[in-house]
Amino acid sequence: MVLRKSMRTPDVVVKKRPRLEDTIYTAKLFFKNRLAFVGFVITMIYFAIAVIDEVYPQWLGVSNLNSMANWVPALSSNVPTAPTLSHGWMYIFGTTQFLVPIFPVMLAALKFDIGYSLLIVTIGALFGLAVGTIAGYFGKIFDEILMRVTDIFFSVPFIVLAFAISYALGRSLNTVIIALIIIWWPIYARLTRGLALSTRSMKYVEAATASGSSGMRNVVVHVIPNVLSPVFVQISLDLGSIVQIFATLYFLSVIQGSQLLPELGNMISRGQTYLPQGIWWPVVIPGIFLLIFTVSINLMGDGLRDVLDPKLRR
Amino acid sequence: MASENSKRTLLYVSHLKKYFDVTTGFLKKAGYVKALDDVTFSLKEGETVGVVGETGCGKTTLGRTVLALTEATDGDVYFNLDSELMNKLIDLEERFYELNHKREKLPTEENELAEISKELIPLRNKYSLTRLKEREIRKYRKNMQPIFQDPFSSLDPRKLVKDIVSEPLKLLSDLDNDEISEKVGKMINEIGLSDDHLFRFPHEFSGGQRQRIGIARAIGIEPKMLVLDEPTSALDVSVQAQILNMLKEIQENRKLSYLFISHHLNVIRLMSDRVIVMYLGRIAEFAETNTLFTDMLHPYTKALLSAIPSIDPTKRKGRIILEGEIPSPSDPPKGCYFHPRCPEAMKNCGWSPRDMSEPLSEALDPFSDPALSVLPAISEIIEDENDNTLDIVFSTAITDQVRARELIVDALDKASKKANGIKFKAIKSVAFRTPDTLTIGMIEPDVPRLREVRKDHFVSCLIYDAGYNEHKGRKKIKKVTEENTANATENYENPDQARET
Amino acid sequence: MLVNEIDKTKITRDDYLVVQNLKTQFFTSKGIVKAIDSVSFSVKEGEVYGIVGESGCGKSVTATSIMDLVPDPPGRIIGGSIYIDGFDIISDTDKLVKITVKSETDVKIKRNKRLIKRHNYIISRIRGKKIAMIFQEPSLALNPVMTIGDQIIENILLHNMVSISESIIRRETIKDQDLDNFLSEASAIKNHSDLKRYVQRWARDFGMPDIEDSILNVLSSNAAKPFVRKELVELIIPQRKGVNINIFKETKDYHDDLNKLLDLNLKLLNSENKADTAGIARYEQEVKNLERQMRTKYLTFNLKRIILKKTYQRVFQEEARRRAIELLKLVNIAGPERVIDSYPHELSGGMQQRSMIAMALASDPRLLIADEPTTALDVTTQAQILDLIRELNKFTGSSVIFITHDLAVIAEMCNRVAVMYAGNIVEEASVDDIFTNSKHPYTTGLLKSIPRTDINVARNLRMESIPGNVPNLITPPTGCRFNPRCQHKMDVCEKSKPKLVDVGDGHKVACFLYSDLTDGDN
Repeated sequence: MVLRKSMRTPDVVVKKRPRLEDTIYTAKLFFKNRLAFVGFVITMIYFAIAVIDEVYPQWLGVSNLNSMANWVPALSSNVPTAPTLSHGWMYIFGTTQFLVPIFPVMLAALKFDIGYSLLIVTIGALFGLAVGTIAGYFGKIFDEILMRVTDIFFSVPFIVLAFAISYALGRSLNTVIIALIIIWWPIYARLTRGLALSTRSMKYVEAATASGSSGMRNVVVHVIPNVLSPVFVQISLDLGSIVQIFATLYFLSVIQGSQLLPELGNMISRGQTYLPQGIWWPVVIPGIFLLIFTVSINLMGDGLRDVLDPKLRR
Repeated sequence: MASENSKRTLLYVSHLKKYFDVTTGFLKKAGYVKALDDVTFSLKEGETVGVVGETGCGKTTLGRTVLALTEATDGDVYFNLDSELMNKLIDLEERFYELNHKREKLPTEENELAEISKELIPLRNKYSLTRLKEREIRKYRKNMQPIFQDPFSSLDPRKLVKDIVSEPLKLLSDLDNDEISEKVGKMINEIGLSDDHLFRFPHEFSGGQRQRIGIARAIGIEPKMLVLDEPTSALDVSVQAQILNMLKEIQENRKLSYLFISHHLNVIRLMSDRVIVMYLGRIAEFAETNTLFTDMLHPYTKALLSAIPSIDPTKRKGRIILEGEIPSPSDPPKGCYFHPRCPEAMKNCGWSPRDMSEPLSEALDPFSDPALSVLPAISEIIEDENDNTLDIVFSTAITDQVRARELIVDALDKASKKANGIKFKAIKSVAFRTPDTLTIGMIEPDVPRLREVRKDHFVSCLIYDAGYNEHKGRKKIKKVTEENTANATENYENPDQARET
Repeated sequence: MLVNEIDKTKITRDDYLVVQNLKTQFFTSKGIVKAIDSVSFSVKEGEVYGIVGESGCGKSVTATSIMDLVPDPPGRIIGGSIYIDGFDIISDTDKLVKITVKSETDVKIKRNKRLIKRHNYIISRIRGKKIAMIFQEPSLALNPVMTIGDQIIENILLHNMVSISESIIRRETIKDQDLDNFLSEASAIKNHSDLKRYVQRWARDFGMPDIEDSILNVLSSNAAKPFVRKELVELIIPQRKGVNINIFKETKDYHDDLNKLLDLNLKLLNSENKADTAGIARYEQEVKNLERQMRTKYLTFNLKRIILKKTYQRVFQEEARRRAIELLKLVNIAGPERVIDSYPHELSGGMQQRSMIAMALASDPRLLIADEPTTALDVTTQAQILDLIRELNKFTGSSVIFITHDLAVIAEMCNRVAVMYAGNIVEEASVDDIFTNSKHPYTTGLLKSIPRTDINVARNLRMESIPGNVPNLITPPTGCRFNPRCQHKMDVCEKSKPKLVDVGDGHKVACFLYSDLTDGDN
């Protein structure tokens, strides 16, 4: 039975790669937002630096991070030197403790900061996504228990929790990373639980159940793809905050590691010892560098949120 | 309910109940909402049964429970069984409930009931969708598919049309991938879209087109029954006609049975062979479509049908505009759920203390009846649902109680003769308990059951109860009503000499 | 008086609302949505005018345009005129914004903030006073954190200060003469329902609707006249609160003057739009004079108002609350004393819609726009609400614009109907004409595609349906917008757009089947 020709809707151009087209449309919408575009470009530059540093460190001239002494050529004073153009590009932002040049170390620091943040956020997001969607979809007692657990995590300030965990396991960067992973997943669990709850009542999930789809399959096939985009937005926003938390924890000397570890938080907390002497650049310049990263990644995240809003796309 | 018909019964729903728990706080149960209460009907092969009712009447829950998308609280659903087995089950179920509902059973009946239970319970556990495990239900799913109302939430926005349409095929059929793609292509043409549409996302389609995709998904697996939950309510009139035509065509070509749920009576009339009218989780009336629309019996059906706006000005006369609102299903009225709004209510329809306190304070207001001004003011009226009584507390004690009682009985009598005064006829006794407290007793209400008033015409209304099993047509039934009302108590009794009416 | 019952002798079947060539567009990222494309119609006083059409036909946008509530951005009224009570409220559209269209997706809108502010001030007054609107989803239109009563009272206090002060003054200064007049007029009325209505009106006029029923009881008790009079006085005395009435007199004057000022501003705006220099000069002067007068005249009043704030406001609050209860009674809400203190979520859909209507009636509007008021309701509740709107229309004599997609509701409610399709009115006629003698192919198709409950249909019968879908209004079809779905399509239909022409007895159709082929816009 084929309906009368007149009842058919007019045919349209064949689309062979609909997913790609959809993505391109999303991208177009995204780049229309100028702030988001700027945020995106800056974030990409930061990421590029981190990647280059990992793959071809020599391009940045920061290959020998562990022997910082190499970087102290003709200068003989112990006091950090001011930003200057006269000693080549490495000294453009001056030097910090042990006369380590700020600019190359900042670049090198990105690898660690972005790497660690990605690690924490990815593990947190994956775990939180699993817990949240399952709790949201299956509900009942399971949901109650999981959500009360996340409540406990939410009720304790994360700094206190990080303190507790890292003092228990030893005050190193690694333990802090473990601590952050432990406190980071509840954010995602709560976020995805709410989304899964609303997705569960969608008729397409019911239609799948009526076709014999099991609960777990519904979660994987229908619920998770539909809650992913807000998760991505949250990830992008969190990347910025984790670097800030590192800085905070270094500042509070919760992390006690290598003095020479190129890490923005480490740099800022070490640089602040010179502040009373009026030597501002060891703190302010890495601070601004971090600020730019956080702001641009937030701009990008906001842009993503707008674009991925299904209301806008309809 | 197994009427003689050559067609095979595809679906039999027996006394289906679905109660939703109302929880407060941490897993604390506060009560329940009766979304479905004793719903019984059958659906034959190639037939459309329409389910119509207003918000909260349980029609959507009925669809979901039949499809085993939600667990039933009680009752059974038999679907797509061998016709001999199905008939046997229907007979057993009917006899079981008939005996079970009898208040006083003869010993022979007790024995029969025990025997039936012995035979029925293993069969229920083996065949009823409400008692099977999800794994066992799977083999029935291939033959029953849903179509939903909202074309925006019924298609996964992250999936391509081809993935959406092929999902049931992947899960329930034995076809391989190539065969599935071929089938999907065929389906999408059948519902009036083209192959190109397969590689698009749902948000690129209009409401009508989305509904077509939903239909393609449901019929691709070649089911025997579709449960259509308001399939055209979200669509425009001109598109609705296209979809309804298509559904009719599909039904004829594939010999499908439809359980067609809608609140649009006009669509129900167009599509259905038989119609169920639901009110607050119960079936009010169940009859062949034309009978229902031309010769309805239940007062609710009458009001519902007369409330439909009509294009034809000559059809607008005699409109019944119901008073009040649909009661909350979590706290439904006693007796017949419809009685507080029913224009034809009788005294035994379910009047209980909570229906009475406001009318009572009005009837006993000295402003409306100056004779009552000799009595002290009423300070409060206390409802007691368990005892089925009301206590009227006066501000001071009354010395001449005989006279006071006479006055009040007079006032109640007067009130019962006014419009909507039928509730006062449900008063059984009026007596002083203490010098300042007057107790008003109510008669015990009857609960209507769905009965076959005429051939294939089921009504759940006390008006027609006396005509049960007689099939004698309307005239006889009408008479019963008049007798019932004429029988109303002329005098209210003291409790010590209370009599059964 | 709160809700005026009309004096039937004074009905003028004049056009209360005239819409001419209205164009509203939405500037979205995907292109310009031509939501309304040159719509003209008029609504007479006391008339129920229906607008019917499918989703996306522009019926709701028409309503929001009349209310000047088009969400901006992305929407803007870009042309035409809307006369309410003879005054064009959107004549200054061109001055408010400058729109430069470079392409469909690239539109620059430059807003003149100062003019928009003044426009909004004046229009908001008109909107509240002369037009009111009820919406499809009462649960969304009511404020969830305010009680029903507070929302109605707010509306009453916004628009009824003059009449509230008047009835307070009358109540406090009621004289023997008033009572005698009342008694002699009341005794002349023999019909009980007329008497009831008269008593209601009198009690409201004198600010004591509470004792309306008691007065009626006394009057109908058939007692001797002096006795009745004595009873009445006993009823009335406790009603008087013994407040100082000077301040209420001043309130009344103050709000009278405010209304006068608004009128003058309207006239000024009107002359500005007509570029009538003499008018501008005159009204500017008058506005200035009145403002100066008011400044000196109400100096002490404003001071008193601040000093007496609590007691002063309480009297108004009490009176407004009483009126709110009265309004709730008017819309047939059972137990208004209980409902007035409940929050919207505690009420059912039907009750919410009734409260919404009560709120709309608070300003005693002359035009009520009902945008799909019953679509979200059940059939039996719909019947109740339709009945109510019909009664109110008869009772108050105000006009109603009734917007719905349901032709049967239109058939029951309206005097005249406009059928809209894709932003145009394609047919306009009296209700009987539309349903018995429809002309436009779209109307005819639509009528045929509704399933009927009153006609038995054969099992295998197919509905007639209009092929295709409602067009996308970013790129609407050229010429007549219905042409891709039309059975009678001619060549001319793609080229030019048919005008809405009268084919006799006020039955207007926009279709080349009924008009000269050359009579169109290219």
